[in-house]
Amino acid sequence: MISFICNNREVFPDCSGGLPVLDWLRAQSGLKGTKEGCREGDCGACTVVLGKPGINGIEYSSVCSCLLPIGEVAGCHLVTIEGLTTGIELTPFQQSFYDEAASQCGFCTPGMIMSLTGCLLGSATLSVSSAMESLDGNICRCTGYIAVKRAVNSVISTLPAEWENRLEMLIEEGHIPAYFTSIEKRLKELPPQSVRAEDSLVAGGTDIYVHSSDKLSTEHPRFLSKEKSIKQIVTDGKTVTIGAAVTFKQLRESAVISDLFPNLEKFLLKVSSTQIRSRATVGGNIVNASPIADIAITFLALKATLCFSERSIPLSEFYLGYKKLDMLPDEILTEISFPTPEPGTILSSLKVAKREYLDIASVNSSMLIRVEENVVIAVRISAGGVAPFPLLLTGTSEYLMGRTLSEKTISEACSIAESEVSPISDVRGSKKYKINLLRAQVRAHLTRGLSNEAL
Amino acid sequence: MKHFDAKLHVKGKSIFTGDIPEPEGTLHAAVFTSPSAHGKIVSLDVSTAEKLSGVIKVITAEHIPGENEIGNIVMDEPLLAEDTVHFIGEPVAVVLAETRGQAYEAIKSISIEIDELDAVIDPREAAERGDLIVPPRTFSCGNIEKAIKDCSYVVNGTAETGGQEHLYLETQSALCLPGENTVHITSSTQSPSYVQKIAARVLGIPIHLVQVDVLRLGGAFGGKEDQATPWAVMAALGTHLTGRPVRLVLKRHEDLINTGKRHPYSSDFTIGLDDQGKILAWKVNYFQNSGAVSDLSTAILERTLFHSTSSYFVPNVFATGYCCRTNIAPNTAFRGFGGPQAMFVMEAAIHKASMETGIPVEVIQKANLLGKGDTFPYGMEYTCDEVRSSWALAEKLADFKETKHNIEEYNSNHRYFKKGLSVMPVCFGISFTTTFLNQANALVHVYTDGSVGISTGAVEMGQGVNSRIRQIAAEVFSIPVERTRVESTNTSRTANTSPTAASSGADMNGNAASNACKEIKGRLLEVAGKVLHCKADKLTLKNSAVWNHSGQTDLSWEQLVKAAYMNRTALSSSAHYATPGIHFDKTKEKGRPFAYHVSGTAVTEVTVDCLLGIYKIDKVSIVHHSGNQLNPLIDLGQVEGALLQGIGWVTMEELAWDKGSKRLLADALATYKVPDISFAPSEVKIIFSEGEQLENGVGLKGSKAIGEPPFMYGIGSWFAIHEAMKAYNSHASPGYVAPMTPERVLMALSTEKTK
Ligand SMILES: Cc1cc2nc3c(=O)[nH]c(=O)nc-3n(C[C@H](O)[C@H](O)[C@H](O)COP(=O)(O)OP(=O)(O)OC[C@H]3O[C@@H](n4cnc5c(N)ncnc54)[C@H](O)[C@@H]3O)c2cc1C
Ligand code: FES
Ligand code: FES
Repeated sequence: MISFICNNREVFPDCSGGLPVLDWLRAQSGLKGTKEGCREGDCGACTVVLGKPGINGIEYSSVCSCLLPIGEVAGCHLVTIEGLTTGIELTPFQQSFYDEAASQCGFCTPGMIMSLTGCLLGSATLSVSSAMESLDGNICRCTGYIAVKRAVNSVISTLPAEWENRLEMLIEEGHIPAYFTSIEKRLKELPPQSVRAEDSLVAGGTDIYVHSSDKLSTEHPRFLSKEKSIKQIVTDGKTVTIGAAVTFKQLRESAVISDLFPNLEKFLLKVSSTQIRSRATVGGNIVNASPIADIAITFLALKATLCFSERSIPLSEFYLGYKKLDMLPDEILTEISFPTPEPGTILSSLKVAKREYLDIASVNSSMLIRVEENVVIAVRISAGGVAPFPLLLTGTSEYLMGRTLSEKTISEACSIAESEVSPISDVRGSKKYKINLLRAQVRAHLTRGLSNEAL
Repeated sequence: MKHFDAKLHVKGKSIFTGDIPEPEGTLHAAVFTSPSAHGKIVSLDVSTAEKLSGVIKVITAEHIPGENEIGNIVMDEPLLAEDTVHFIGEPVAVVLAETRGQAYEAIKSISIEIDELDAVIDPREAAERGDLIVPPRTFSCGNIEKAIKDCSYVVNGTAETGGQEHLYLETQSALCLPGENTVHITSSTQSPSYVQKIAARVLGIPIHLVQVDVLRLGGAFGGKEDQATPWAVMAALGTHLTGRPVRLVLKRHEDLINTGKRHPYSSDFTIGLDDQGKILAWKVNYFQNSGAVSDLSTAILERTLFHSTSSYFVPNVFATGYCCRTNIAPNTAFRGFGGPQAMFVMEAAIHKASMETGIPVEVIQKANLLGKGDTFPYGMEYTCDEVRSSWALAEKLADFKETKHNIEEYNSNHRYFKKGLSVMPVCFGISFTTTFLNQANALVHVYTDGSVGISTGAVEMGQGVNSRIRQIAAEVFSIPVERTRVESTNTSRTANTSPTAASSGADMNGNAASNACKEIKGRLLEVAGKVLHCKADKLTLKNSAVWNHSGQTDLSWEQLVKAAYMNRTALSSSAHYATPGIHFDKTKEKGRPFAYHVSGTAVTEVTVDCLLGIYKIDKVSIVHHSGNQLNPLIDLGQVEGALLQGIGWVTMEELAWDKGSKRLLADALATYKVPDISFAPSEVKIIFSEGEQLENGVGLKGSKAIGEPPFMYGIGSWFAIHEAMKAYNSHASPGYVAPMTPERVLMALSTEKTK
């Protein structure tokens, strides 16, 4: 039996742990403000806010309830649109959406309001840009987002700059109801959780729920998140070690990572959406083995090693073919580690898709490079979308080593990169396009990547 | 003034069809569809599915008691395939089960054997085979052959526009409840009366035994005009056959595959100009990819022909359109209804003419803008000067000259980043081009406490029609808007309604509601006259009270209503509205099909990263002639929303089909991308200009329709991106093909040689 607090109420759902929260809300709880637009994490209509007890109180973030198994909510605070207006007529965001007509048909609106609420409750810093960012997983087909931007601006501009006690401040400003202060204590008073764990392994669920939601609905999955040890990012100065269950959100907010690679944060914004990043894990991305897996591409360039309980292997040897891995069926990836690069090393990451944000790359690539006086001292390039699995461009990297970066070197590097890949034509682009795009990215890495220029 | 519905939306309290609680015993429907694009059904075996746990019935064509025909204009669409299938996703059988999961599980055990036939997805190929839905139509004026001979420049070309998925966030959905011998359908439809009529036809019962109710839609954009019907009718059929409530809600994946979209067009043009850039001749052939059945294709092609000259005056025109039958899901209405496709071709032709003659695009555009007194090829006169005035105002709003100069400077200072600029004038005809549809009715009740309930044929789908109608009623009675309410759209309260479409929902239903309110107001003033012992025509309603020449009387709105009731006065009224002055003779292809035209101009600025082939829309400046705005907030939202949809259509929204299987490749939100918040232009400046006054009796209180016209401002993005590409590589030639995806940009930039 599991239990959690849904809005202001302790609940004890009687269902299998694999049931998506969206279905529990709509079919079993009568909470129909949360909408279903796609069931694949791509529209945000189903957005809810999930609060997990952490070291600094409850850590809130917005998530897609269509990909969230209810077993993961055990012991947590689940907030839906209905939970915002207990004793409040309209929250400031609701009021501003109303005032600006940022809601037309209204189907996307609860999701947007929840994304913004998740931002208020959970984002590290609060600004107009972080509030806009929090909507990167919410599709609206009616408003063109322009009224939404006005509505967001008008609220954020009234918020105090100081955030000493965020929860109290938000209550005072009417963004959340007063009951939020009682949640931490009430979560501790919930009976001990007993989550059955016997079926499929689920990390963030953002891959497996997209294709196997129906099957998982009646299962009792094993949740990787229950293992605390693999949720941390640590460094001893020589090696950085990342737990397999570390989320994209954690990766993006990690000081260890941003100290080494200040540019990576911007790239990570292009990886899925806020809601997905709250859940999707580094390990899941690597094991899922999509040919365009953004995180796997990045870690290939970083010369990462994968650790399983009994062994470890270089990431570059992990992929054997399309979705074919050097991994036993029951093996669990526990950690990913990479050597701390020499000072002066730059990580440049690129991704081009039809849409800049929340889209799957046509081609993506990463380059870890150190250049001194225009001479390449160290380099490692990886690319996705150009082979059956995330690919290390060894030939291109070898060629560049020790060379002076001239137009000729760059052109030659592009051609070598082309010779190393074998993309296929599919919905993300023709073979020819992917080759051209890879060439362009190699050039961009070697020019802009070193100077930080972007559109 | 607000978008009143939004107050419920922001709290998640609005009820959509899928939110209505299920009555006890509700069955869930799942639809088994054709896996083949074209073929003869050799066998269909549902016997295993029927025996599965929870399955109550599997419906196939043979169970249909009435006609298996849901066609609306042309009778060519079965509800459930009988012996042939014509597209992947064509409904074949409906499973009814106790739970949704059981219904979907059961579909998997239905087996079908199909003898594959040749399938086409290319409209030109279909046309070559003579596979047209109706014979081609031609709109013409002047003498095209002679004019072409007289031109200094004659430019030929082709243009292609892709389809577009509506991506209303709420998928197609319906819930049907059994009555005594009736069925009560709640449907997410723009056309309750179509659903009603067609359900009656399929069930083989009179129309009055079918009631259709629509509360609101989670977006539609034309995608629920004809295409909500099959799902609602399937639910009704399920109820009719089992006597139990039936719910049918499409999953997104099914909605993408099974339902039609905006029509892709492939067109050939010949444009002839004199040496000053004046367009003398315009010859165009439109090959519309209609999909497997007619749906609304013929009406959409008609609108393409009406807009073949876009916002320009051309004296010699010969425009021909072909509805080509292909083996993809039936394409359908989508904001603009064939207009955007026509306008893209015209802009492409002007652009190509500019490239070949060296006359700047804007010079050609400006030299040919429609002016007061010009005649369209279909014989209607353009009676205002709003195209030209909006162009002039937009040039100012966007600082056109200065911006152009700045862009040139920016471009010369950047190697890979290039900016581009375009101007897009729009002139769009308002009315259903099918004349008889231009009618609406309304039923208004004033209750004894003074509150007002209004029913019309208009469906609320986010466009704010209910807010406008409430405003109108509140204004007639001079009471606060809060005292009014628009009821669900229900076929028992308003019958024989036209779809809420063609941007005319508010114009027509608002006028009908206004007429009904005025009727009641007249009766109320009669009563007031009796109470106050004076002549009714000396009295008015103002600020929730009765006023006479010297000011407010003691008779409040509430007291008046009560007095009228006690006096046995009818406090309800229904009224009808028919758009005046419109007619069209299809034998001559001439007439006055539109009540009026809506015009405006957009200036678009973009930046292209010519190394990676990606782009950003920086700024769009729009001058839109809106008439006397009833609700400026709603108008603004309509322009902004339509603009981004239009931009999406010509940039990232790409439908593709597998050449072999004819399967739709963009069949999930992971593969069909629509604009998100970061893609919205960084700056949008919109000026609403009142423009010229409408004739009496058209528009709604001097306001103009706004749903569709602003969509076409988005077309400017395609041309602005093209300009930026040219600044990088003057040979860059993506062809006149929309959408201009990042792939198309990069391929065009890298295949040619850089200057
Ligand atoms: C809307 C959306 C957008 C997305 N955008 C992107 C994107 O931009 N870029 C991108 O790269 N990906 C994207 N993804 C894919 C997905 O989010 C990532 O691949 C993510 O990293 C998967 O991690 P997860 O923890 O959610 O995996 P899960 O779905 O939980 O697991 C995936 C599979 O891996 C197995 N698994 C997970 N962890 C382990 C482990 N430690 N050891 C052994 N097996 C394991 C699971 O059993 C399961 O079979 C997107 C997904 C969605 C839904
Ligand atoms: S339903 Fe679309 S993201 Fe969950
Ligand atoms: S308001 Fe309709 S989808 Fe956003």
